This record gives sequence, structure tokens and C-alpha cells, in this order.
Amino acid sequence: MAFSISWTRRRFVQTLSSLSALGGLSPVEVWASATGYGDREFLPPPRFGFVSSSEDTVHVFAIRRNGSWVRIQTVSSLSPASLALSPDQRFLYVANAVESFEHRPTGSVEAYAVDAKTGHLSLLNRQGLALSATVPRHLAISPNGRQLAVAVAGGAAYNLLPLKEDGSIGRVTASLKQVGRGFDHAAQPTASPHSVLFQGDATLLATDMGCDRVSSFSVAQDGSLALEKHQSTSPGSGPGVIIGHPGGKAFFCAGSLDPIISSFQYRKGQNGPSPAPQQFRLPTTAGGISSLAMHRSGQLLFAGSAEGIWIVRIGDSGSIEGASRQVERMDDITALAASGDGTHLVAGTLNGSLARFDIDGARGRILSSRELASVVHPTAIALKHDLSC
Amino acid sequence: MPTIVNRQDPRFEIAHRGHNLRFPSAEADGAGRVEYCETAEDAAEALQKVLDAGLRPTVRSSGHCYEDFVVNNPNGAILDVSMLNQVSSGPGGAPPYQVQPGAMLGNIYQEFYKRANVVLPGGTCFTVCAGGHISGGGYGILARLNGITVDWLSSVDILTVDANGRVVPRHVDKKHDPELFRALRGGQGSNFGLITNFTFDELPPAPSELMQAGISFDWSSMTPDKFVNILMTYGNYWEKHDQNKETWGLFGYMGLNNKSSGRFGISATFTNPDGTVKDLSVINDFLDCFQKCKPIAEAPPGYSSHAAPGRDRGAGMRPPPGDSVCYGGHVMTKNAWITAASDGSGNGIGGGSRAKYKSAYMKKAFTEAEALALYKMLTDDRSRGLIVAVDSYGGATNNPERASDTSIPQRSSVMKLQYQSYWQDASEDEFRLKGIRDTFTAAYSTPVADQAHLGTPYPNDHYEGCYMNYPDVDMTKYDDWRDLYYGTGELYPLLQRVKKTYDPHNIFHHTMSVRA
Repeated sequence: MAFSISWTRRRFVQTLSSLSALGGLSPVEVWASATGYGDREFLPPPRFGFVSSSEDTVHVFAIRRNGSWVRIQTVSSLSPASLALSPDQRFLYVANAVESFEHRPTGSVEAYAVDAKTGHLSLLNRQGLALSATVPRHLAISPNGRQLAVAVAGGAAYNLLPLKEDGSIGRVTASLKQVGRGFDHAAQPTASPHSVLFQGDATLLATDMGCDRVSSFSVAQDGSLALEKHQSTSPGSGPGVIIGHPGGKAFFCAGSLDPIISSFQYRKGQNGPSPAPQQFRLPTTAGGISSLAMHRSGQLLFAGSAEGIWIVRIGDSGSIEGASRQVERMDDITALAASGDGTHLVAGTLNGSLARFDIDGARGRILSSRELASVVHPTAIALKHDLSC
Repeated sequence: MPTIVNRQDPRFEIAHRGHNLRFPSAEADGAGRVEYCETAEDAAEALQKVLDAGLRPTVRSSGHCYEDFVVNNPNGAILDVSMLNQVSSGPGGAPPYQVQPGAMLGNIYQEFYKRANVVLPGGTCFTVCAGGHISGGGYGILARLNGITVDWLSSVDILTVDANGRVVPRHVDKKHDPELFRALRGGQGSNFGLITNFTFDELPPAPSELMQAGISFDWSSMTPDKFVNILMTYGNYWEKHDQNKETWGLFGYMGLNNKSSGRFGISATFTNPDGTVKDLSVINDFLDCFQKCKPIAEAPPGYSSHAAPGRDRGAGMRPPPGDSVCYGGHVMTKNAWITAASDGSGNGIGGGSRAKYKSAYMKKAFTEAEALALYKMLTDDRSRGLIVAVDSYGGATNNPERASDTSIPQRSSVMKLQYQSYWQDASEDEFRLKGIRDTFTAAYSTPVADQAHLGTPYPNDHYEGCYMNYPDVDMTKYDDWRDLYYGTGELYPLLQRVKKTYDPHNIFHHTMSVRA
């Protein structure tokens, strides 16, 4: 099935759930459907911003027409490390990077309902992860909105949990323990799952910072997970953040210990991504990359590090063509999100700054910046767009 | 090659459960498969495959784990080593004596008796297997005479998982991986790896004879004063005679049941240090202590304080006609040691009941306040079905040297309590759990309890914490719960060090496992 550029978002979301019944989709097409974007119109500007903080809070901001952010709600949430909106953006999910939940040695995840008009959050439930799955770091939602995958750093595992019709989170259905260590035994003494990314509903990609590898897992309808393969990355790079190309041409992961961005490209006729990823080293000595965000066009990849924000140019095939540092040092970037309308980035820094960077997508440049708000050590940012437009 | 029983196998329904039918808590919490291992090589192969598949392994010997540590393993794999059940010795019964983790206690006693006339001073439940029992510091009726199982342990064979995720077989003793060896002397194999063998270079001689006696007390004529008198008499005896070696062959069990059961009792087993029962003065002196309490010397036919789990202890139990009287000489039963040791109790495959357990070590006799707290709860319907089992303890077990080379730090206690509640119907869960919890809390909220840790037998002058082979997840609600099991000294930091070294990926874990 080809995606018409004139499709509206409403039609796309309505047909999303039927995509899994279609056979014969190429990986690119599956990927495009998975992200919900594909070769489509850009989204309207975001209306609400959600920012998690190391202060055990999640802040809700209303985004005005002039782009300013107004804090409208603050909810308590233990050690929120990652945020993810459901594909229909009705629910927000939070990973609690804790070591104990209900007196058991495990982490937890939370589900919130998002009021469509006000953006306010209402807690639906908090669910424990599998035993020993302590300190979850990142979570992702499947395109059909039915599964929640969690990368668990402390307990070195990946957990899968079902999402119910009402948005609440069910009990863990799968936990895959990871073992091993990386090139640098001191910095990488054990496995340390970092990030997860759904590729369609049936495949989960994941990075392991401790083992220098990217893994793919099959996700079954019964909620089980099974390893498909591990793929090694550059030794000592500690692969961290992972993000998909909106056109489905590739996925990218960034080294959290070494500033290397890997592009895993899909080639026509090939089942799965290329086994030999393109490795691109950012010209910096400031350590690894903490965050990634993708421009709607798929032509620009933004990478946050201790030195600021880099813009990485992506070619038609998903290959990396070059990079330049666009934003000078502004303290460690701890969170990054790109707006669905392609106009700006939102970045959070260790010193509590939340800033907007306007983007010239055509030229691949950051035009201007302004301070949006103060949030103590932002850990994640999620932007809610109005999908009814 | 391990035999795999998965969800499609008709054996799975039983195979994925243990004896405590409360677990798995929900079907979604149950393991995805059970792998029966016949050899240590099977176990290593199974463990490596489970690791490579990213699944969580839990290890089972007999399935008697009191909590959900083995069977609550969502989609994971239970490695069952019950078929690693060999018991052996050197030629002609010479040491060393070896026990595999799946060997049942009853069989261990028989094998060692036949081969070498020695005894492993372990527990009384025939079908409990060595793996969890020994590595968790198992004890039994010879604890006062011979100490506990791990006091005699010389080496352990164990499969651990290294930093690269590979299974590594180890033979550990005082010279090879000594800290791991010490950890396995009571710190439980479930924290560190999969045990495939225990070795004892020496074991004490088996007694030849055992004298068993029992007395019971009628609830219908019980008063608070009488109850206090009985408990204080019992506790005072063990406190007074803890270091009196002449009494070390005596072991007492007091089973305190809810009033609805009709009566509660005390049983005693005795053997002289020479293994005979020629001199009965010790057991007679012990039983004589209770004459002023007017016990029933002979229980009515069919009565047993060890009634089958699930049975309502009140049904059909009537006190004898007339008042409780002392019948003069104590009624005792003499048995050959091996006959008594082979008297099976406990369940085999399948069966079981819903259950909850708690424990406490006591360094001193019951106080009046403690006894009254128990009286109040046991005469209340809230504790219906509850048994508070009070074992004598100490004697040879209270060797302070063993606190520094084993992982059982409790070496000053004179009594060891096990709170037990059994029932069949899940609809009773809330009632039964509340009953045992309320009773336990009441018992450890008297003036002798550590006031900063009320509701628990936190180590102090009077208590010495809890026993990890009677695990109780309720304790995790207390921040200092590890002090209860491991003491407040250097033991837990040592166990954490061992954990980090030998199980760096925390492969072997459960709700109460050691956290590196």
C-alpha cells in the first residue's frame, strides 16, 4: 500500500490498527506506518509539553500560539526517567527509575490520561516491573498502542507489558534478562539496556550500553519476547539513544560513551537493516551523546551532548552525510524533542534550563533560541500535538 | 539432557507449582517451563540455555519454599534438581559424605545410617530436599546435640554465572573461594547459583535410640495464668540448660494452636550423648517441670498436634472426660533412631495447601507479657488455624565460632519459633493472612522488643531476628529487614560482596535475595 501525501492524520490513525492485517509490506512501509508519519504532511504545532524532572515531578506546559510555554500542572512521580505518548496521544507513560516498588526489588511504570482540551494528567495506574527489573531507563509504545516496552538499566533486562483499552498498564508478560559486558570492563562491567524502539508491532529494537550492542526482539501477540539477534556496535561506544527515521529508511543509535552515531539502513530487497551500520563520529572530545531527536523531514538528526546540539544531515537512503555543531555549550543536554511541525526543537539541560530552538529545515540550521521555562534537571520531554486536525 | 515440561505438557499444571498453593500468585506470574535435570551436566546445560534465551532461572529441589521465590517467575524457567538425589560416602561408609540437592532428608538419614551409621543433623520433614534446606542452615531435633547442617559442611559444588554470562562450575571450600563457601553455609544457594553437591568430611554418629514423649493441655480449662506458667516453664528450661551438655540430647517442640483446636501440646525427643536412652533422667526432669501445669499425659486416640494441613483442628477434638490429670509416670515411646527419622511427613509431588509462615529466634525464656500476648491471640478467632511452633534450640548450635565461618549469625538463641497457617480455600486468604500477621505483631510488641522495631523480633537482648529458611516477605516492609535475618554485623556486607563477585548479573534473585 502506498501512502498518499494527502492523507489526513485522522484517517491514518484510524487505519493504523488494520495495518498489521496487510501482508507484503516492505520494511520501509512497515516502518513508515509504525512511526505514524511516513511520507505525510507535517503535524500541527504542539499544544502541550510534558517534562519529567529529577525532582520526582512531571510538569505539564500549555504551548501558546506565540510558542511560549506556560506551566499548568505539576504531578508527583518517582524518579521519572522517560516519557512516551501513546500513538493517539491520549495517554502518557512514565518510567520510574526506582529500585523498589511495593517493597519488592523492582522498578515501575505509570500511566496517565491526558485531557484532550486542557492537557492535564490524571494517574490511571502504576505497575511494577518484573522482579529485579530495577531502575528502568526508557520506554516505548508499539504502533498499535497495545504494548509497552521498557529498557531496564539497573536490572539489565527488557520488559514488555500490555496496555489496556482504558490506557492503564497490565502486568508484565515478558522479561528478558541481559548478560555480558562491554569493551571497557570498568565503564561497562555488566549489561545495561538503555533504549527501546518498536519497528512495527512485531519487532523491538534495543540498545545495550553495557554490552556494546543493538538487539532485535520479536514481539508475539501473546506478549512474549524472543531474541532475534544481537549486533555489535563500535567497542566501547556504549550505544544509548535510538531513534527511527520517519520515512522508515533507517534507524539511528548514538554512543553514550563515545560520540558515534550509527545508521542502520534498510535496503531494497533486504530483510532487516544492513548488518554493517554506517558509523559516524562527531568531531568532539566531550564524551558521548545523551539525546537524539529527528526532524520531521527525515533529513536532519539532532544530537545533544555536553558541548551543545549537533545537526547531523541525513541523506535520502538514511545515510549520514555530515554534521555541524549548531548550538554552543549550554550545559549538558539531558533531554531533546523535535516538534512534529518541523519548526523547532525543545532541549533541557542539567542546569535546569528548558529552551526552544527554531529550525530552518530547508537549510538545516538553527535560527534562534529562547528560554521557555526552568525545570530542575529535565530527564525527558514529550510533545503532544492535536491529531484531530 | 534435561527433560523440559512446557505449558502444553499435561504435567505442567503440577510441575510449575510448589507445595504452597498460594503461588504462583496469578497464572501470569507462573514460569513458562520446568526443566528436570538428572545430572550436574544437565543442570549446567539447562542453565546456560536459559541464560542465552534471556529467561530468569529459578532453582527447585523439593518445592517446599515458603514464599514465591521459585514459582513466581513470569515466563521464566524452573530448573528442577530433584533428580540430582544421590547420597554417597567413601568405600565402606568412610567419609567424605556427599549429598546432592535433590536428596530427601528421609532418604539421607537412611542412606547415611546404612552406609556409615552417621547422621546429618537436619530437619524432620521427610520430603524436604537438601538443596534449600542445607544451604539455608537447616536444623532439626539434633540441633542441641550436634549443631546444624551447615556446621558440618566441608565443601559445595555450585554452578555460577560469570561476567560474560557463562556458566562456571565451582568447587568451593575454606581454601577455594572461601567467601562464597561461607555464604553457602546458611546464606542460601538461591542467592548465588545452582548447587549440585554438598560434601561433609565428617558427620556425627547417629543415635541408636530415641525416646519420644508428649503432653498436652486442655484449652477448655486453660486460664491466662496457666498458659503463662506453661510457656515460661518451657522457655525457662531451655534458657537455663542451654549450656548444660547433659541436656543437649533433649529437643522440645511446643505446638501452640488456636483455642478452637481443643488442646495444645509439648513433645520431646531425647537421646543420651552415647546415643542410647538408658538414662531417662533428663527427659523425665523436663516433663516433670510441667506437672504443676496438669498436662494430659496421654492424648486421646487420634489426636496429633501435627494434624494434616487444611484440616480444621477443632473438628472432632474433644477434651477427655473429667479434669486434666497427671498420670504419674510419663508416657513415652521408644524407637530406634532410624525408625523415628524415617517417619515420613510432608508431601511428595502434587498436593500441598495454601500457607503462610513467619519465624523468630528467642535468646531468653518467654516473659509474662509475651505469653499473655500469645494467649490473647490464640484465644481469638482471628488466629483460627494458626500454629505457633516453638522448637528448643541452642546447645551445640550456640557455638560462637560458627557465627564467623557460616552465614547463620544466630548463635545465642534457646528457642526458634515458626508461625504456620494452612488452609485450602483462596477465599480465606485475607482472613488467614491477617490472623498470622496480627499474632506475630502482637507477640513482638511487648516491652522486651526493640522499641524502634516493634512488631518484629529485631536483634536485641531478647531476640535474634528471623530465619531465612522460613522466609516472610512481610518483613520487607521494614527498612532494616535484612538485620532480622543477617544480624547487624559484617555478614550482610560480606554476602553483598560475594553476590557482586559471583553473580555480577544478579541472575539468581527473588524478593528477599541478597542485593549487591
